[in-house]
Amino acid sequence: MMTKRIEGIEFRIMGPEFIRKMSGIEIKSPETYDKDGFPMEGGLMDNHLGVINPGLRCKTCGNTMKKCPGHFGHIELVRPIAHSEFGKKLEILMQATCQSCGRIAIQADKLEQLRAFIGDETINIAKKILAKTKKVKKCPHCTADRREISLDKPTNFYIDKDRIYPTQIREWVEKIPDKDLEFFGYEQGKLRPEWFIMTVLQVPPINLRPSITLESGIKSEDDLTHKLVDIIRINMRLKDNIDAGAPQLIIEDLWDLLQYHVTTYFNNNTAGVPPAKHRSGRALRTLVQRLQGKKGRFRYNLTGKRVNFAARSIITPDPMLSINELGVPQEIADNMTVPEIITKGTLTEAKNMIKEGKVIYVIRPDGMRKKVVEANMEAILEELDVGFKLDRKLKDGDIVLFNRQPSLHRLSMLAHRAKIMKDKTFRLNSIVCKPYNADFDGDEMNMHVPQTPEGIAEATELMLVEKQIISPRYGAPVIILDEDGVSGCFILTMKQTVFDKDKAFQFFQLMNLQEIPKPDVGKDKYSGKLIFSQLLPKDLNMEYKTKLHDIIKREDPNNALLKDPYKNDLIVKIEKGQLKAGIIDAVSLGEGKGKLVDALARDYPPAVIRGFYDSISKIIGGLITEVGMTVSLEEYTPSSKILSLREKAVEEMRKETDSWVKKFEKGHLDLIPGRNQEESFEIYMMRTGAAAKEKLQKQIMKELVDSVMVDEPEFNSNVMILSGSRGNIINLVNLSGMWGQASVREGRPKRGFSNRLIALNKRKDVGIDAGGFIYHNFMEGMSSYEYFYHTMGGRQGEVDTGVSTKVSGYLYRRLANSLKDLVVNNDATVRTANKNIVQYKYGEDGVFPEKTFKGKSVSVKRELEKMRSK
Amino acid sequence: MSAKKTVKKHVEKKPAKKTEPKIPKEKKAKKIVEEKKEVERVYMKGDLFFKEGLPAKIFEDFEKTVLEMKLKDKEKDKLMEQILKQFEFVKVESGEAVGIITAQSLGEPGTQLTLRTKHYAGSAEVSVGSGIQRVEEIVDGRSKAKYPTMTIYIADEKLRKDEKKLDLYAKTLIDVRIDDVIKVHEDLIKGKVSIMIDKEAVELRNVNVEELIDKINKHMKKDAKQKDKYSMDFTFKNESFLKIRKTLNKLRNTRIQGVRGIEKVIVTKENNESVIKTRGTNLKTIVKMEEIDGARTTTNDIKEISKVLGIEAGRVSIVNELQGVLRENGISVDIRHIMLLADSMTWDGDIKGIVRTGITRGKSSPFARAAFEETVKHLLEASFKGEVEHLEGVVENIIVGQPIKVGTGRVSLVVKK
Repeated sequence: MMTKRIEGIEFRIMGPEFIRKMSGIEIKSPETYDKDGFPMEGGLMDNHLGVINPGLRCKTCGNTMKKCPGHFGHIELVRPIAHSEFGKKLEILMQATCQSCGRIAIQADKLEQLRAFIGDETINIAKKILAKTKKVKKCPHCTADRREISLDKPTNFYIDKDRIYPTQIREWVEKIPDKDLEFFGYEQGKLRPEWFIMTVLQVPPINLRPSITLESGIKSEDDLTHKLVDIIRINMRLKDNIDAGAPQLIIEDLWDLLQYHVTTYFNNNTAGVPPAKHRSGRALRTLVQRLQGKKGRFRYNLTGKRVNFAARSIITPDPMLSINELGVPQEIADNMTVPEIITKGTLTEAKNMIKEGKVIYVIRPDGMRKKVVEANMEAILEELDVGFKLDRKLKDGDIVLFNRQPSLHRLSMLAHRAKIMKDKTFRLNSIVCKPYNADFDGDEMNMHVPQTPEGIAEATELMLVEKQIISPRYGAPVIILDEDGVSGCFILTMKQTVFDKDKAFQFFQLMNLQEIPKPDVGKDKYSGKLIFSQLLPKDLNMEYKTKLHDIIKREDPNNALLKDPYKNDLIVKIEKGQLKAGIIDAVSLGEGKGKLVDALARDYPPAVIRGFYDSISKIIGGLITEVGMTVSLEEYTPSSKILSLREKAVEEMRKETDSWVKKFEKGHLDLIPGRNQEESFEIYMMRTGAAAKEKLQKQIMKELVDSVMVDEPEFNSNVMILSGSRGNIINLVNLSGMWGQASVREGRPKRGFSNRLIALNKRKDVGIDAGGFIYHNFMEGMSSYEYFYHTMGGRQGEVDTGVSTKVSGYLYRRLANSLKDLVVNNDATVRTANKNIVQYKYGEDGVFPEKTFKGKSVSVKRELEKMRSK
Repeated sequence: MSAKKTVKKHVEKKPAKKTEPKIPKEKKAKKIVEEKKEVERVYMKGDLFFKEGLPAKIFEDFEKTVLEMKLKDKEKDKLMEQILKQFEFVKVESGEAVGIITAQSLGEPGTQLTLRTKHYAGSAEVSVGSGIQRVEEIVDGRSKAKYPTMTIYIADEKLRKDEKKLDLYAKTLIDVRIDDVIKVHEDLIKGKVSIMIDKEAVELRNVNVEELIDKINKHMKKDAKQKDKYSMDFTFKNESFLKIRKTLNKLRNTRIQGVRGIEKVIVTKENNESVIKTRGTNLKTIVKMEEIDGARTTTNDIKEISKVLGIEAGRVSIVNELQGVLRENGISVDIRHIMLLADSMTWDGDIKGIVRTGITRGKSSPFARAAFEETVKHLLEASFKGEVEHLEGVVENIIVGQPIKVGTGRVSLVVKK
């Protein structure tokens, strides 16, 4: 439980005094370890800097490895060194102030007038002052001459053309009074510009740069340690040279070298400085590199927390599981624990659990943790009492979180109830694939076991699968049946589907029915609709059009079937939980539509929709196997009618395109508004090609509808298309009609050889065949050049998906990062983390999309129906 | 406020209504008006809106249903009670992390967005970015769209109905420089410049030739020798080549007609109404034009809209544009999410993009900024300014390992003593 909370963290720049004060030891020696492998006194691995070896004690705080937080040290620099990251700040100050008196080169009274703007306007004032003072030739305070300052990034300063060294800069900025610094955003007492010229360098504790002992016994040092060694070496050499009175030139060279090492110690990617390399040629990872980027401290370690109580395995489907359940392999369950506090009521049960080996640890009230093994079991049982804590193995019914990456939305992590099973994969009902976007081609998923009562409660109340059926994105079901689920319901509710008593009772048993309905079609015969009706709550009333209704109406508005839509199953009618008419298809079950599941999930407790899904997934597999849903090559062999139609359509198309080509070559084309000849021609060609395919599609569609509306329909891909479970008519046309025009970026393929697509074509042939038209279908197979045209279109798709995942991934990261702090407050406003109001009322009406009906907050009609049905 | 209370108030008002005389069966229209009055009197629309936040749309639905179904008073009350109850239920809960939900709702279907640039029904020349690139453009708050386009509605009835006239009118909007319609022959040694007017180009752009000649003359500050209607000669004496060139260049770049920035126009039908679509936008000028319906005319350049019409218009335009792209790609996202995004981009009066220089830079938490992009820059800045991290947001608390102040993390339990 949280008892302490961090209120805030203040950021500051450390002054030299502060660094010395917090330092555990001054580092003087470049050696790290002595001959015997012990840390050198005053070296970079000195025990004053913290301990990372077990058993040793820290010389600063006296604690052992676990308790010692690590301590900073310091290096006294012989000559001051400019901090590379603050070069710009120094430049600004020097450009604005006078070298001899340190005042801002503006007359005192004028400067005081500007003081009023300090605060929110500081940035603008600083810019203004800089612009004014940059060119001032004489200091208004002390009348000294001023010269132009320039900065050769990152750390070399020049006055006019002469180099100015850190010592001089330090002397200069030391003179600037605090009240003048305020104009540049320096807070009095907190920050002095001379701190940017370092006289002392902080040495991080060894916890930050542990040395690694390789198997061969050779110690390998961290990049930071290497860099610090360099700094100390050069620092010593510089000191020796100065003491020996070496010529100025040598000292300056060494000084620059020291500057280089310090610069790269902070940031090994500074512009204009060659990165420091390891002996192997690898660039060193110094301070800035450690923090920055995807693999940096912030994104990789601080925001990427790692957890215990997690497991990962391959997933496989199991239709006999509830959507709420998760099949957990025994091996995983044995290694996962759930804490449980023993109360009076559970004491005997706990003892039994220990006896059965279902407990891994026993924790005494004083915090002692004991592993339960055969040898100490007796003693533990003896000792066990109320108030003890158990870490027991995962068992059936425990709440676990299940997750699949990429976790793109909150439905990527849902709560399930564990069900311990044999074998080594996680098992889940295939209906829950949808929110996870999972399939079973080798996907792996992660399981987490919540450890606190709060966590468990939250998971059960909010994250359970049955409570997440409706999407917060658009207010309609997302956890839905698809593919075989929809096809199965379609077949089940067709009026041709009738089962005898034996089969029907099998279904009833799987559905776990309490009451067996009476046969409805003849003696001992059960209709599929009756069986389906058993899954619906008894007070459900609905009526809506099926997908088939829309298809028939679109393709053939005069179809005889439309005259009596109820009898012909084109309208779903549910009365008092009985499916009176209509076929259940994607309109009832599918994504974004799902009228039936929508009603079940919304108007009833979660158990209803769970029961519905559980039963459906149990019976649908058996049903589809029973009736036999499969495809045959025969089914896709085009009928002679289609073939002759294609012949005709293509012939007509050729004629038309030939005339386009003629017109185009003469330049007589009727231009499409705003297009030139060539563009217009391409559009005409595309349209003509598409029109030919359209003709075929109409015919195939017609045959499709007819094939299912017979007394003994065959269950094949036609069912899939008509029920909306998978595929569409275009797939069928491609299989047994023709592919039509190959397209790349909404036009005919263009790239290839000059003036022609492939070497088989004549140059400048713009005709339909040379432009990538594919006359064949997949059943027949394409000719070699058609196949090549086809790949051109395929390539585009492949490239596009690759690019768009990248782009959308980054877009998502940015969206999440800028919106994540927006929360609805108690006054219904939406505010940022700083309590700035973004919306006065969330979504203008204060309604949450998840609870709406596809965005509609309250449907008066629905309310009226609900009221009347009561 | 609970739904029950308000309903009770309405019930209390009822006795007054009973004393009123029954409405005699007269003309239907009158009856409906009076019935509507009755509904309105029992349930004050404004009252419901202010007290319960019930949107006007739902109230209108309620009125309609009451009239249609001829509900009795008792049923009316019950229905309203039910509606208010339902409305209370669908309200967003305090602490809901709506920002994250919005980000997920737009980010998760991102991969389904198409990559290509779509062309208007394959017929018009005005192409509009669609798919993920357009979404990026909108969300980034970029100052220039890749495919700037305007939809211009016509107010002038006659013009709108007459397609030929409209076509000609549309052409006058195109930004035409003199260079587009003339060909120049220079003989700099003799100081002779002959300008030929391109007949085809003039016709294509519907340019008035007389005016054009006038303009050229005026600009050259000389009267031309007119060979025929389409060609003119100028002679320069005692003038340097450079000057001649300069005048010519200036002449070439002079706009003779149209609106700055409009490159192409096309007349199309939109919901049975002729509209002009353009490539290139200039809202400020076009909106003021007389023949144009300034209230409906719009551009897809969000920054331009907010500059010309204000930030609220910018916000609406973000919502509309995003909704358009999503709809085109068949992705359903609740409008509330899009509005939240638009609001978070516009709440402080400027359009801020979802980029490191936009919303994120405005955050006060150094950790939040550092965790996004340019980590070191933000840390240095924070230490220079002496900023304080108050740990109010989500990542900040994750970084230090505390529960986040969102959703269930906002509440805590207090043990009753």
